[in-house]
Amino acid sequence: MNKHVLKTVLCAFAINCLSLTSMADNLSAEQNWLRIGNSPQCAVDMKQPTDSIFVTAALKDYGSILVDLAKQSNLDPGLFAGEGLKFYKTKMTTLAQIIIDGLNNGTLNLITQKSQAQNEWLKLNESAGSNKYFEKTNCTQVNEINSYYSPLFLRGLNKEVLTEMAEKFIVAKTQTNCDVKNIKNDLDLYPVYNYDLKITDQKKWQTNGFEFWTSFKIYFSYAWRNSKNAMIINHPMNKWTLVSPMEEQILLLSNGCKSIERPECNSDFLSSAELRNLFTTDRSKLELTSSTLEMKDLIMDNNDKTDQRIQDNMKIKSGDQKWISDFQKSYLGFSTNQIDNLFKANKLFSSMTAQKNNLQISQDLTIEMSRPENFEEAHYLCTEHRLLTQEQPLNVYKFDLDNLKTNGSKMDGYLKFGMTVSDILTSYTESSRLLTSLCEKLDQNQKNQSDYKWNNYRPWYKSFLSRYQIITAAIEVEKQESPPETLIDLRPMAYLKDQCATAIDCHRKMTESIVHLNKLLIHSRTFLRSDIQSPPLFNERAEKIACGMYDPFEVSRLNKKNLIAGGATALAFGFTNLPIYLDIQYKPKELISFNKLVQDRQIKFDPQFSKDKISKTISLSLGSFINVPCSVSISETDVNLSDVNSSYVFRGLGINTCQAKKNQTIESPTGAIDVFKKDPKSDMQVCGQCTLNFEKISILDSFKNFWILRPFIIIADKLIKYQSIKNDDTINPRQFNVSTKYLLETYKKNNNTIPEKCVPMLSRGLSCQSNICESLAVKEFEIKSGLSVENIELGKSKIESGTDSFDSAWISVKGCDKKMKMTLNCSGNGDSFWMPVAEREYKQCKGN
Amino acid sequence: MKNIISIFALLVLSLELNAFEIKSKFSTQMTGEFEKFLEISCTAKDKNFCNQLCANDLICKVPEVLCEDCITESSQLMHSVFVDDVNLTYKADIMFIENNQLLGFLKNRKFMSMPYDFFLNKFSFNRKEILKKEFEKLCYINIESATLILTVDDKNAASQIVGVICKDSEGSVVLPINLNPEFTKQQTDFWQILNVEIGYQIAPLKLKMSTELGIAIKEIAKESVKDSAATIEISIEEPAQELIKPTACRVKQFSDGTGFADNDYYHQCIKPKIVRKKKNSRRK
Repeated sequence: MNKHVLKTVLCAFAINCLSLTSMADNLSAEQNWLRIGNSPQCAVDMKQPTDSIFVTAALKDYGSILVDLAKQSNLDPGLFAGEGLKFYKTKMTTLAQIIIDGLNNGTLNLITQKSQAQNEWLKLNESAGSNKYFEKTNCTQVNEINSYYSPLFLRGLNKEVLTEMAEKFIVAKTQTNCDVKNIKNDLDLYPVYNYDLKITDQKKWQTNGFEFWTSFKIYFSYAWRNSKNAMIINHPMNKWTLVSPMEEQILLLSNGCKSIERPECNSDFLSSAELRNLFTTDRSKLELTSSTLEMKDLIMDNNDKTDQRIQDNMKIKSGDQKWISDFQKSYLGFSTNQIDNLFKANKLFSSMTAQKNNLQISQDLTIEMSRPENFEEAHYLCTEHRLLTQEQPLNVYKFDLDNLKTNGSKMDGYLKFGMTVSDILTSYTESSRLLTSLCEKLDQNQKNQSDYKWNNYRPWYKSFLSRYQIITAAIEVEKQESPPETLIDLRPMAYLKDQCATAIDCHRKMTESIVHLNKLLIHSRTFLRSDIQSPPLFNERAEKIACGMYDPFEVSRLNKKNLIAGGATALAFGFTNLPIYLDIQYKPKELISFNKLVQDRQIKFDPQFSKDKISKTISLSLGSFINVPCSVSISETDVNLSDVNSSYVFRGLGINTCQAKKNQTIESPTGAIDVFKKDPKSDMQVCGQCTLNFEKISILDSFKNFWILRPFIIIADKLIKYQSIKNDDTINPRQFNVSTKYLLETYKKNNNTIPEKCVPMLSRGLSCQSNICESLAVKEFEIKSGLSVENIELGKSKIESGTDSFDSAWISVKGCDKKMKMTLNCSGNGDSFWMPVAEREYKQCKGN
Repeated sequence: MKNIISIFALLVLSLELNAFEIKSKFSTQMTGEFEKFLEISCTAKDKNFCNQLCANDLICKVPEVLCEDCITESSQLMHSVFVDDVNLTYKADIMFIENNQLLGFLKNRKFMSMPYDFFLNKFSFNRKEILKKEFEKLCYINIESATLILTVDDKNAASQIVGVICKDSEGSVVLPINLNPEFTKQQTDFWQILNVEIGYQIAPLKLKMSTELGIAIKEIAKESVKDSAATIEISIEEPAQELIKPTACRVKQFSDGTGFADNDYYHQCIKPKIVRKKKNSRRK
């Protein structure tokens, strides 16, 4: 039993323990491995299908319904809800196990469509075939999901990390499996179960693993409602598990860095970044981003700190164990807010149309907007409206409005009455036309910009602009020194009953509704949850990799060639020689937006010009691209980045065309990673990628042109030194294989701690001995003999050999008095280690 | 205007046509066994109703269905009932469903009743007292309780809110529910949703309105038949010496002489402008 549990737990820590099982088999049966990777390694792993998942549920609503029911029925609420919760958990684990087994033994085929589930499900009871991927599954009830995830954020191994892992390992031994008899009728509303597949056919698993999980999710949804299992369908509590969609309660998470869903660069996948934001402490300020471009931007801004942030949030915010429930609550709450926006839009547009006719609305609006006392509010209306409809090419919102028109009907399924999304859009387009012309007239009556209060813009507009600091500065809005309070509108909602005060007010709310609809559409799969979700919550680089924005091997690649994104077709933005310089200190592994360069003070402005004016020009020219992640391109192919006589002047921003992207497929030096499945569709999704173009100019030239600039000219010796990055553990993917047996031995032997001197040996998968040669000898002996070494002493016969050079070893094993003498060759760091182990040498101790 | 409606509704409920009571009930066992039903108790006066419903003169238990996948934040229907004020989205018709139609509905349709303190309402645990008021407002007048009726399809998914059971000390009536015309122009024909026939012929209309609404219909001014629908104009005189201006009330009529009122029936006939007239004035 212990061993069984042990293995499960191991896989919990280990990111990829299963691929190492064959190695483990060669060692003594007690031996297992922890494979520990750093964050970039985690990124590398994410393109593989996971072999260990958590099935988690948020049963707060289910529980409170049962409590309410029991109270109204004069039953003991605690007992009644406890029984109901126990049934829910039993149903979860029973069905999950049936489906996993069915998919493995071939009685359930892999499927990709919901419609296929029924036919396949009917076949389930046919005789089982042979196991395809694994021999068995372990299911354990997880009490502390935290301990599973903390190793994912490692920056390297040290004694603290190893000590912590040993401790967790001992604690985790107490876990119980998912047998029906072990599921308690307690009031745990956030159960977590770990399913661990012992993959035997890795090759097959690599090919079919993602489809396995996709099928699992579809079958799970289907079986939940159409189970054939007598224990489930005959249980009187079953009906309570059906009143709410299970997809809103059950969430799958990968145990480790590998993925449940194949990572693809689309908005569903990008929404994971939004989900991760639900960990942040201030959720009230959280707003969904409104475009794919913005989403990419968000991802780009997540730097290495994210790992730490997630870990901190998990620990600090909710204590050691509660973050999962906290997250689930946020997820549900946030989804609710989002769907409310859909209903609000529906209500606003529907009742507007029901209560007023078009002619009346336009007359009311025209009259209101011509009255001077309304000019201020009309100005806000026009500014907001313009942002949504402006005709600038590549405008983020323009882009999205088209998307909304094409795909908006996807949300109609959530609307039972009132106007459909396309009705809403038609109605909006109509009023938009009128607004545009009214706003033109209004412009002639403009007051001073300073008369308009930042706080009076609607929240969506403020939140949009706050992301774009340059623009914010350029339009000289009131600075957000005091937190933007939502002003409460005290006017009677007289124009449209309970909804808006005036026609202007109505139109501002309509504009806002469209923005909300648009956001909701982009994130609909993630936040409306019609399928079981399985986001890569903890792999912060998942989206970066999927969208080609992060390449874990890039650093090593950069050692071979210079950072040049040349070859991209540049779409000139029509301005050159802007007095802007690049202070190249950005990290080569990241894409970066123009805005980010400014924030990080890597862009310098020529002081001869007013910074505000430059900002304005830039923001107008770059449009929304100001915040889009781009690669940095320098105009010469053989730039010597350490050339002190160079400086770089900004030449504008270019857009990679799709064709160009095709030629820029990321190649990794090891071939271990490549860009994900390339098809025309995914190519299209990276079409928006851009380059920030800088041209090298000599310092002399720049002095000539901008002689005032002297102190600001950026000297190229500040350029990043690629060589110095090369060996940084936090940037290169690294992984360590630690033997749990040796880890625990060391931990116990040293009063429950791991000494510093043991770290190098343990992280190489060796036991902790007084030097590396002893460690290697112990490992070699144990592998060959299958015995467990109790003591080892090394010896040397030749005087002249160095102090750390050995040629013999005396080994004693547990339960055997005899000391065995072995010949070996080892010195220094063990590079030349060699030790033959023949059976005759340990035979006499083997019998014990 | 509201007054008038209230008065009419009051009259509707006070007519004592129905003395039976409809209660939304359920029973639960510790093991999870559960039953949800409408309990209908009849008096001697309307024992026929119970008898026809369940062959018992006094009391009937009409089983309900528990909806599936319905308790979700993404349900606009639940949102409109439990999160928003139900009166924003819905409006009850002032004319109650006749007994024989109610019988048909109770016998043939899958439905679920939702009282203000519905145990499945996880949307607004703390709004119960407000919900009670909002639900009762659907019934127009002060009553003891209002319970919504939700139809459920063959997969047990929630379909439509079709009616409200209004109960006072005199008994219970069921008012059909339609989308509020202030919310949408969409016309969902509740008679069709209910799938119960409510047939009126033009000739008995005057009588029906007089008796059911307790108002004096002075005359039916005009009858015209076009596209198999008859339009009539009526003038109504009510006791408070206020005369309701005659307006067109469309009543569909079929060739066999049966027909049914358009769902605008009462909104057009009962809600028109009030024209004050001298006590003895008469309209031609």
